[in-house]
Amino acid sequence: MNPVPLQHFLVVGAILFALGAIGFMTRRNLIIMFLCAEMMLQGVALNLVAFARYRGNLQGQSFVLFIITVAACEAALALALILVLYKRKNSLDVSLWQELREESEEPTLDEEPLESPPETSAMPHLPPAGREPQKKREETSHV
Amino acid sequence: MIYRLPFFRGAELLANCDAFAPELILCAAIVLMLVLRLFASFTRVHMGYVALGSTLAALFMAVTQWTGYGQTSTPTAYQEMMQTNSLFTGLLVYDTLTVYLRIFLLAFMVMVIWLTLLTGIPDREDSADFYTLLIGSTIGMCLMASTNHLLMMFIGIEMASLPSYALAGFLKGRRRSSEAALKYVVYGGGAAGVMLYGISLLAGKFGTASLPHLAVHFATSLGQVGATGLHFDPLMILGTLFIVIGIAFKLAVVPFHFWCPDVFEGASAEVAGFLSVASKAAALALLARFALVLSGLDPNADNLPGAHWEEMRRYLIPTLAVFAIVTATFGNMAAYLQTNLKRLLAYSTIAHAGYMLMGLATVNREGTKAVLFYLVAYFLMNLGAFAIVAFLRNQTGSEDLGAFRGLVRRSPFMVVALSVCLLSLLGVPPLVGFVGKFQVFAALFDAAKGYGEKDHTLSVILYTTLVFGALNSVLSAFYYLKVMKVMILERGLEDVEGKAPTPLVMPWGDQLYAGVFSLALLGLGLYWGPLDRASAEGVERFRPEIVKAEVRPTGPPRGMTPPPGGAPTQGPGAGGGRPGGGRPGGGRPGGGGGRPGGGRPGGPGGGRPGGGPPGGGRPAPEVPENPGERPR
Amino acid sequence: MTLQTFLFYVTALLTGVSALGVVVTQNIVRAATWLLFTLAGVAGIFFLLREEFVGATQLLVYVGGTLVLVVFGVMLTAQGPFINMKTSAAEWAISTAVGLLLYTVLALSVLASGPLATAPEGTGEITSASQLGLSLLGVKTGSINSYLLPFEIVSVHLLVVLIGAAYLARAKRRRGAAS
Repeated sequence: MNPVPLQHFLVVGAILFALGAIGFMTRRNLIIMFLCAEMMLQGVALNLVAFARYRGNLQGQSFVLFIITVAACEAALALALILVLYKRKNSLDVSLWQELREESEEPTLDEEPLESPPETSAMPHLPPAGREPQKKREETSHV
Repeated sequence: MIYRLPFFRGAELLANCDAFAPELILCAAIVLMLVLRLFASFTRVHMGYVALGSTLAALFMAVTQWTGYGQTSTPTAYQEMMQTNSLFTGLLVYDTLTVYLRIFLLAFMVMVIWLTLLTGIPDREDSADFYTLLIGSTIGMCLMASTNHLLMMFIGIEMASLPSYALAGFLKGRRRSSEAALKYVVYGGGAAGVMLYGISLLAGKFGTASLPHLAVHFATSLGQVGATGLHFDPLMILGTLFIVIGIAFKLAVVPFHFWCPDVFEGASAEVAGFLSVASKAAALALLARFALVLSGLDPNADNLPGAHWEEMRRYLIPTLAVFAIVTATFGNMAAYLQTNLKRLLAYSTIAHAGYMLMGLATVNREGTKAVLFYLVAYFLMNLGAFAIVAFLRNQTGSEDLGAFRGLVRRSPFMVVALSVCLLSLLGVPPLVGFVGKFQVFAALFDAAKGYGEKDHTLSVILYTTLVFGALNSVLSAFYYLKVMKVMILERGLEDVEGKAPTPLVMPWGDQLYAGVFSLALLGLGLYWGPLDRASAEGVERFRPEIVKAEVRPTGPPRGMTPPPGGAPTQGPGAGGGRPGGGRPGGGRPGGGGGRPGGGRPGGPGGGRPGGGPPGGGRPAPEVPENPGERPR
Repeated sequence: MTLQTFLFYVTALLTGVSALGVVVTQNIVRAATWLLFTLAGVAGIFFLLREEFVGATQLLVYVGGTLVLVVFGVMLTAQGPFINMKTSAAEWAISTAVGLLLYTVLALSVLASGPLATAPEGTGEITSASQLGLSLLGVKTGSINSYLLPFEIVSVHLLVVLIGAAYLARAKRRRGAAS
C-alpha cells in the first residue's frame, strides 16, 4: 500500500491546475499562455493517475494516454497559429490583437506598453470577396 | 483476469461498425481527399465535390438507419446491441436521438459544402485542407451527439473544436481571421483544461466515467450527508460545474460567450455559419444527454427506489433556466448595438442558444423534442442568413450594415430572402421559426403546469423562464427589424447622390440557394407535421445504456454509495463505516443549504431500498417513494 | 517516514516550485525550461505511483515531443527585445487572488470530500501495460471498457489536426509576386 494518502496527490494536482490557471489569466505572451494551459492538463493527468492507482482500475491510465495525445494535437495546431501570428506582428504580445471587439469598447491599453515592433505583411492579400484569384500558369503548379 | 472469448468479438465489432457507418464513411472521405491530392491529374479538381459526394453517402446511410431503426437485419449481435443500445462497449449510445442528430449534422454539412462551392471560399488549391477540417470537425460533433462516456465526451469536444480553430483562421491572409483563430484557440484551450479537470474529479470520485453509471452514483449520493456535514459532495459539485463550464463554452452560454462574437466576426461567413449551427447543435445534444441521463430519464430510474432523481432535477432545472434566461436576454440586448452583420448574427445565435436552453431546462422528453424541432428551424434560418451575407459580401465587398443601405433597389430577391430568414429568426407566424419557438414555450408551460402541484418553486421558475422567453422574442424584434429597415427603407449612397442604384448581379446558383432556404422556411412553417413527428420519434426511443443491477462497486465499500437496484452483493456494512456518524440520524441541519425548495427525507443513507441494515448503529429511517412530497 | 513518502514530498515540492517558475518568470526560454522540470516531476510522481507506462509515455511524448516543439516555437520567435514581457502589478495581484481562491476551493473540496478510494492494492483490476494495450486493441477484459474506438478515432483526429497545422504554417503563394 502506498503510504501517501490519495488526497496529497490530488492536492499536488490542484496546485498544478491552479498555477496553470493563474498563468493563463495573467501572462500576455502567447507561448507562455500555452505552456500554462499544458500545466493545467498536467494537474488533470496527475489526478487521474492517482485516482486510478488507488482504485486499481485501468481507466485513469487510458484517459491520460488520450489526454497526452490530444494535448500534442493542440500543441501542434496552436504553435502553427502562433507562428502565423508572429510573422505578422513580429511579437508574441497577445494585447496587440484587439481588432475584434465591441465598437463601444476602447482597446485595453498598457500602463507600461512594450515597444511595438513594425508590422510586416509577409502574407499575401486575399481579394475582399474571397474569390479565387486569377493565377498565372506557373503559380498553379505545386512545389 | 479472464478474457471474454472469443478474442476479438468479431460479430459485435461488425455490428458496431454497421451502426457507426456514417462516421466511418466520413473518415474514409478524409483519407480519399488527401490521397487524391497526390496525383497530378486531380490537382485541378475542387475537392468540394468529393466531400459533397461522401457526405451524401454518409447521409444516405444515416437515413437508412433512421427508417430501419429497430429492424434487425443482421442476427444476434445486432439484436444484442439494440437491446443494450450501446456501441463499442458502452462508449457511445445508439438510439433515435443519435440517429436524428447524425442526419441533422450530415444534412447540414451537405448544405455548407454546397454553400462553399458557390462562394468559393476555399480555392481549389486549399480545398483539400478545408474539407478535411470541416469533415473532421463533423465527426467530432457526431461523437458528441452520441456520447455515453466522459472520455468520448472529451474526445468528441476536442475533435469538434481543434479543426474549428483552424477553420476560423482559414483566411490566413486576413488579420481579423487570424485574430479570430487566436482568440478561439486560447480560450478553447483554457476551457478544455477546466472541463478535463472536472472530468478527472468525477471519474475519480465515482470510479466510473460512463454517464449512466455516474447518474446512478449521483442520484444515490444526493440523498446522503457526507462526513463533513455537507449535503452534497464538494468534489461532485465542482466536477459537474467544471464540465458544465466546458459545455457552456462550446454552446456560447453567457458568461462563457465572449469568444463567440469575435470569432464569428473574424471568420468567414461560411465558417461562421457552420460553427453557429453545427457546433451549437452538438453541444446542445451533449448537454441534453448529460441532463437527461443525470436526471434519471431512462428505464433504470424506475427500478432504483433509492435514487433521488427528483432531487437531481431540482438542481438541474434552476441552473439551466437561469443560464437560459441570462443568455437569451444578453444576446438580444447586445445584438441591437452591432453594425457588422456577422457580429449581429453572432449575438443572435447566442440568444437562440438561450431559447433552446429554455427547452432543455424542462429536463423532460417534451422539452427535448421541442429543442430537436427548433434545431432544424435554426439550421435553416441561421445558415440561410449567413449564406446570404456571404453572397452579398462577394458582390459588395462588405459585411457592414451601412453598406446594405437601400439594398432592396439593387438586389430585391436577396433582400426578400434575407428578410424571410430574419423574420423566421424573430418568430413570425407563417415561418418555421415561429413553430419552433411555440413548441419550446409550450413545453415550458406544460412542464411548469406539471410541477404546479408537486413542487411550487420549480413551477415558478419554469413560468418565469416562459415569461422571459416571450419578452425576449419581443426584444429581438428591434434588431431584426432594424436590419430590414436599413435594407428596405433607407436610401443608399447612390440614391442620395441622385444616381440610379446599380443592380447587383447575383449568380443564379446563389439565387437558387437563397430561394431553397426561403421556401424551406415557409414550407416547414406550414407543413410542420412530418418534422414534428420525426423530432418526437427522436426522443421517443431516447434510451441510454441500461445499467444492470450489478453495477460493480469500483471503489471500496467504505464511503461509497451502494450499488443500485438493491444488489445483494453489498455486505451489511455498506456505507455504514463512514466517519462522521456524529449527527443524529433522521435529522438534518435546517436551512436547506441553499437548496431550492422542497423538503427531503432526512435519513442519510436511508435511500437504500433495504440493502441490509444500515451499519454503524445509525437509525436511518426507510424512505418513502416520493421524497418530494415529504414535509420537512 | 518511509523512503517512498519522502521521495513523494520532495518530488511534489520540486514540481510545485518549477510550476511556479513557469508562471512567474519573464523569459520565454526559462519558462520552457521550468516546464520541462514540471513535466519531468509529474512523470516522477507517476513512477512513484507505480504507473511506469504512463510515466514513460509522459517523458517520451511530452518532454521529448511536445516540449521540443515548443522550444522550436520559442527559437523561431524569440528574437530581439521581445523575449521578455512584463505583467503589471495590478494584474498580478488580481490573478494571484483569483488563483489562490481557486486553489483553496479545490484543495478544501478534495480534503472535505470524505473518504475517497483507498482500495488496497491487488483487489481492483490489476493494471499493467499489457492489459492497457489489450484494451486499446478492443479486447474487453472484465468490466473495463475497451478503448478501441477512441484509439482509432484519435488517430483520425491527429491526421486532421496535422493537416490543419500544416495549412496554417505553410505560406500561401503570393499573388502576382511569382516569377
